[in-house]
Amino acid sequence: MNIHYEQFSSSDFVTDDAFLNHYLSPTDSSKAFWESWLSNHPEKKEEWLAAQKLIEAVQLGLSEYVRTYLSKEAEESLLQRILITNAESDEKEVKPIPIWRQSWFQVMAACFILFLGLKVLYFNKSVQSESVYEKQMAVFAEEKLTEKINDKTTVDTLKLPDGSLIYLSPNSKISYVNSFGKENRTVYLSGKAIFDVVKIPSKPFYVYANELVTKVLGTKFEVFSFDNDKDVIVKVLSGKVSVYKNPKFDKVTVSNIEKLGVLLKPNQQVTFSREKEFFKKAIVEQPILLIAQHISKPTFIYDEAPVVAVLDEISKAYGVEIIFNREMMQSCQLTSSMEEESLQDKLNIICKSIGATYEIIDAQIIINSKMCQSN
Amino acid sequence: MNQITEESNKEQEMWEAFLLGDEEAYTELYRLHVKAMYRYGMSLVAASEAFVFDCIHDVFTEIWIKRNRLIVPDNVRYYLLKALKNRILHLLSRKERSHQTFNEEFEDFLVEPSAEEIFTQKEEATNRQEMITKLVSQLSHRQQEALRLRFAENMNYEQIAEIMLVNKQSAQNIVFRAVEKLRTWLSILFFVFFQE
Repeated sequence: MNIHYEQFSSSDFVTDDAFLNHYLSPTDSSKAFWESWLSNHPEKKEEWLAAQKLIEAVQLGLSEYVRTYLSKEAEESLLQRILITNAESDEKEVKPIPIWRQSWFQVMAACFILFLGLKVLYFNKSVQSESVYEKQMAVFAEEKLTEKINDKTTVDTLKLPDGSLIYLSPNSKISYVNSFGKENRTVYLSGKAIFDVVKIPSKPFYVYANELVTKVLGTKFEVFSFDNDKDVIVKVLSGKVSVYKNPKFDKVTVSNIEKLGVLLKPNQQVTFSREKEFFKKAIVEQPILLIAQHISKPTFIYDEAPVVAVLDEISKAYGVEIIFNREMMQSCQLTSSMEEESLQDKLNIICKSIGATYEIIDAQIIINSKMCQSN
Repeated sequence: MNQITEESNKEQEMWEAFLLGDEEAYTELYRLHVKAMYRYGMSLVAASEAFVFDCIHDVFTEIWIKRNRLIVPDNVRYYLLKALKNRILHLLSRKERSHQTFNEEFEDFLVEPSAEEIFTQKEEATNRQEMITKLVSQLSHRQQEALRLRFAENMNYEQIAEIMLVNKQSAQNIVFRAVEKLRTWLSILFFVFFQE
């Protein structure tokens, strides 16, 4: 810091970034800095203390502003209003514009695209051997591509120019244009791979795999997409991703493609049926603990603990939604230690001990329980 | 500082989730910032609460529609307050065009309470907070706005400059002049106080 603090007035101090930051949230280094500075400039101590008083006064003068009261009801009703407007505008996007409001040019253009679409469909039927991946590659005939093929029997680790990692499974291949990362981050996958994506908020990362597009900003997830498989599966290990159909394979407009997809959170997966063209969201087979989001990892050791609290803890630790009847389970208790058990085993133990059953529907766990005897 | 960066990282994650269409994260962002937007909006146009609500509504619905094209801001609070001010100014400029800017430019020189006025306020105020609040309200609107952004919303001078449509040096000057005025007024008052 080359600022001439020795010439500072109290108002100068109050206006200074380092001084204000130290006042608002002192750190060890800021404390050390000001202590040593003050011991070197004892003559400025008074001015410095006056500055502290002045900041206090300024904040006091603004405290009415900071406490400006917004009632909970007003906050809620404004939120509802916003969400309703959003729902309406989302709907509008899907609704086609009435034909009489379109210009003739637009109608003509629409016919032309429809014609092209039919032609592609027809073409597809006759040359079925060409995979989606190969078709996508053909689009880039003019651009230089990097293609990695894993024909070994072990997983291959690749590093992309942005630092993201790809663990490419055997019999799988991946490609990207050589200008990867300059304007966007897009890779094309055939087969199975885990992606550990470096976070670059301004440049989302896209994985094109068969008919699906997976969009992420920075996270870890797995994609299964072999040319001959019936399904495409995306599993999320951390972070959030959105998965939607590649608009090239659909007549939806770019603005609403993402709505037709699904948003996945950690420990969730989506299976896309290529034949029937639908998404099925579910919990992954082996959910992992989301420890990163927790300050301390739960022990999962319980001694006459309320089952309601146990379920809440599990729900949080695995990031899964558990639906159960709180009132009915209020007096249920659990004594068990399940440190190493998987999520399914934990649920089995709990259900057995309180005479309940559970089922997994979509990405939710639903517990069917009876009333527990209160002690 | 660590705590602050951690919080802003968390907010940026929420923002990312919202960009991917997560309504929960969007709602969470609303709850985190609506109070600051409300108080800032009300400080700009105290006359109409309904108008401020409308503008907050417009800011949030607009970012929802544009979510596919938005990037993650460094400072979410700053981004939202700036958007709110833009919205307010846009709607106001439709109503009344020329007068607004004239006043804003010259008000720094217009408002300057005399020593007597300050004393009267001290007599009227029942406590220190009330007194300083009154002193702050004697500052020009721009000076008050700059103080709020700086000391209540914790923005840096670059961000204040962006919101107030001046350069960074001017933003710093506005804050300095406001602080300096308060200091002078306070010292007059306390001088009198100790004399009594």
